[in-house]
Amino acid sequence: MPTLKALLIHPDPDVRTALRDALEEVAFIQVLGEAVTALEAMELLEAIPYGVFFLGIDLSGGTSGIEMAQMLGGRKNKPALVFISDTENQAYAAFELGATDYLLWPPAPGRMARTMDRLQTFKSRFREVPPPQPQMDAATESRDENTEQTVKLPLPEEEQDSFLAALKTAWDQTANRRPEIDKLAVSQDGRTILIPYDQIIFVEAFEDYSYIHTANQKFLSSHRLKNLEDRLGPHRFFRVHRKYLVNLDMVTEIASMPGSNFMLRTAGRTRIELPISRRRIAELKKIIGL
Amino acid sequence: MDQPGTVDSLLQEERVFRPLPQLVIEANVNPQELDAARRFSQMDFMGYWEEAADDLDWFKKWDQVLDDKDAPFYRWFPGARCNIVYNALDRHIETANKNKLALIWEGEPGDQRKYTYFELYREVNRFANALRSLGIRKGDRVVIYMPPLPETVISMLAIAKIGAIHSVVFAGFSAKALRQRINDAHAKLVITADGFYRNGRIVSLKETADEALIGACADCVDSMVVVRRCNLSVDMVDGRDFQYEDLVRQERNEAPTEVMDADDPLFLMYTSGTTGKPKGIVHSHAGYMVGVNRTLTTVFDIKPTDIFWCTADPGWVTGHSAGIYGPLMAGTTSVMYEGHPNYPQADRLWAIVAKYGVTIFYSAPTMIRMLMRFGTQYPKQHDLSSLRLLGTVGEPIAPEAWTWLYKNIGRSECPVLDTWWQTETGMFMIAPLPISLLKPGSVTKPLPGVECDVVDRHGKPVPPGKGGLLVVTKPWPAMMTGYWNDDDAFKACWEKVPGVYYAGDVAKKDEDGYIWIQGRADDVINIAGHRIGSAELEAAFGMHGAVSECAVIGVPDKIKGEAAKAFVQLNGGFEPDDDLIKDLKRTIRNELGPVAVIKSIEFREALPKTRSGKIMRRVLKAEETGHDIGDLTGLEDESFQAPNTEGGEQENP
Repeated sequence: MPTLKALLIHPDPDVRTALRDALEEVAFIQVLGEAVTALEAMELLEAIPYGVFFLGIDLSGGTSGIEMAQMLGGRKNKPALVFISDTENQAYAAFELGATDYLLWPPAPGRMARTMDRLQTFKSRFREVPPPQPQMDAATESRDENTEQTVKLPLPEEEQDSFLAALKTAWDQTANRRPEIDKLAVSQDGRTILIPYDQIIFVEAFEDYSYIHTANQKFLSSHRLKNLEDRLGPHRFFRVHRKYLVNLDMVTEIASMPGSNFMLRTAGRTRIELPISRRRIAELKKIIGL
Repeated sequence: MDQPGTVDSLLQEERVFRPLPQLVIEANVNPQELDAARRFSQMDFMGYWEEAADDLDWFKKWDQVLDDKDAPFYRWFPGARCNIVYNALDRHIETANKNKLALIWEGEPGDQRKYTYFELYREVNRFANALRSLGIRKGDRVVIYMPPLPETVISMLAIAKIGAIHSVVFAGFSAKALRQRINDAHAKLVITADGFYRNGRIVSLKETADEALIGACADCVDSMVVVRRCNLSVDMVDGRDFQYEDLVRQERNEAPTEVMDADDPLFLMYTSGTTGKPKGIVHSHAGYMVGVNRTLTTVFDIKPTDIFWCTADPGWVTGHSAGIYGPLMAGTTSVMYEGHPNYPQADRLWAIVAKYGVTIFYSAPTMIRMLMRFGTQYPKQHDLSSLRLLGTVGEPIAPEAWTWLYKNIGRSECPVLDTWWQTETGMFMIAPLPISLLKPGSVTKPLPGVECDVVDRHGKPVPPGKGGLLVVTKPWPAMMTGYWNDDDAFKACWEKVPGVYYAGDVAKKDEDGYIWIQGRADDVINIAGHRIGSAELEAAFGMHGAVSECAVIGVPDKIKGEAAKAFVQLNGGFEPDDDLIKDLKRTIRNELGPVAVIKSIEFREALPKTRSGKIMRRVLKAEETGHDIGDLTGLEDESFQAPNTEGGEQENP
């Protein structure tokens, strides 16, 4: 049975222990942590999808329980708030802020049961949201290592000159360009995604379709490579191979290779390597501006 | 043996990285403008720096840009009147920067404090008034012995504001080192804190400061100001010690800014002493502010939306120029962190980057190597997408560390800007811009207005690809104006290679004019007539997966005259055995060729380092040769002792 995760926020350890004991018997509530300051509680909430906060009015650390309730105000899926106080004078403020209950401490016999009823009702409409995933979870991490790959393409001697000429035009720093906002529409999982041209690293032909590779992902497009070549050609893309169309702006790395050749490499997770023969080094250096 | 001062170069790194076009389009300085600035500075050197000076505010403009009659005692902007604090703080109060965050500070336990320019301005004024009421006047020296706290920044600015001279002493220094610096500077006041948090512990500081004052020169320190940081109960000496908050409580929010002559000293910075007894380097208001402001804004391409984080402690010149004065003059927001980079775990730096949306991250190779050791799982846990520029300083960064940083922190999108400069130079000298083509391990080319060259001992330029001495051939504004009470030492910097400033580093220039730092000249190793920089050998070691950190020194050899010995700190999971030694030697031979013979390899748990994280090869060398170890007050761990060399040594069979 799914439970409501509870956090006990009170500066007095005795109160926290008493609450813990009382909640021990409640099957649908699972106590998961204690805190003494609002800051601590907020930090815990970042990591754990709490369903209920039992919180004192006076907390350590400068932020009161009421202020904390205000801080929570704008959140979706915020936990139920059960305030704990020894006076009634903050009760109005508490309910104004959407408190589920307000307990006078120590609670009168049987009073806790009413709190539990209210929480039971709250639980029926509370939807637990999984905690925010770290930027890249373990699954993608292991995939990362595997999918980082290099596509080595041959570039025949006779085509190297036209390739360098294209690079030269594309990389001409003196041409005053404005950032373009043209985008390519691709569909993924039934949604249409617009990829700005300047985020495409290369396009790979795949039967009658093509894959659009960006820094981290690839998208299947229904366009043929020939169509895309016509469309992206003016935007400094170059057909380096029967199956590959490369964004020349994304060629970011130049390295020498053992066979006395040079090699150009694109950015991104899947990268393209293109050989350039040693005879053209001088020209290549001129183009990149060394 | 005649040594013309050239050095062999073995390491070949031919990768070139281009910046992404979006970055070039958005950069403040585009490639054509950079070319134009270079040409302008070559044609009209003074004009270039005069224009840079016009970016700042002056009480009275200069009579001339540079007075070189008394070279090498160059005087920049003689006749001008100014104050760096006016440019770092006062002038922002009149602009849109007034309510912008100047400083975001995070303590090790996670507490935060934030100051807008206006708030910082008022805090500085209040403390400036308090300092005046303590009797501190223009020209007095004040030693700041503090961890990175907002009060450290406030103290520096308040001292400079009233025309006094600050000397920040890194909080990790011992009482002896502090006393040495107090005595040398003849300080009138010491500002310290009760303690600070470091690696989960409280380190008390006031006690050490008290200890330093015992035996300090009798007529120097009159008073001590104590900042409360950890609520430690400290012994206060009646009449001498004051609580910071007691002093500022009553003070007014406005304080006049002292009008300074161009070459009035701003601060003393004692060099960390990789090569000898610490010396007090003097920087002055006018030249320093012009040089730092121009080079920092050029290299880091500062934009109104930036959050700039220089991880250096304020106790180093990096903390002064790139941590405090530079960012404040540029009107940007900077981040300061009190504690240990691995507390509570090895992702603290990345957590801070993600939390505040840091856009520019400027750190040191030693830090990068340490973080590399923990692998990529820590940076991967955080959203580092706000970063747009990365930078390093302090020692040459090996290509291996460069590419790790570029790939794992910079998403292969953020340029890694390796900057070369020193305490003596005050400002960045050789560094790429975000638009530059980058070669991993190279500091690229001198900035506009800076003229550097690689020469032999007689001042003759060495051919491309050949290593030599790195010199600065023209004066530059943020140059030190001297050593404190030691004109001879200052002149010596200009005499080793006649007429130019010799930085003490060896470097090579490649065919494209890119400069590669090969290490300190003192660390050059002469193997059978081949002179090789330690940094190259160490970079080659770095290519082996087992090596975390490494120091290579020259040891006497009967046959070759000198041979290379390596001290290696291993990554976790590697066993120091004979197979590994063979494997390491093979790696070096493959990378650098047959000249680079490593005679022996010794494994160490840790390497001796200066407190700013530079490896002290001098200490290792002294251990090997039995010579005097020299002044060690700058050493990270003063209890560092030479292990029994008979026991741990791994000799080549």
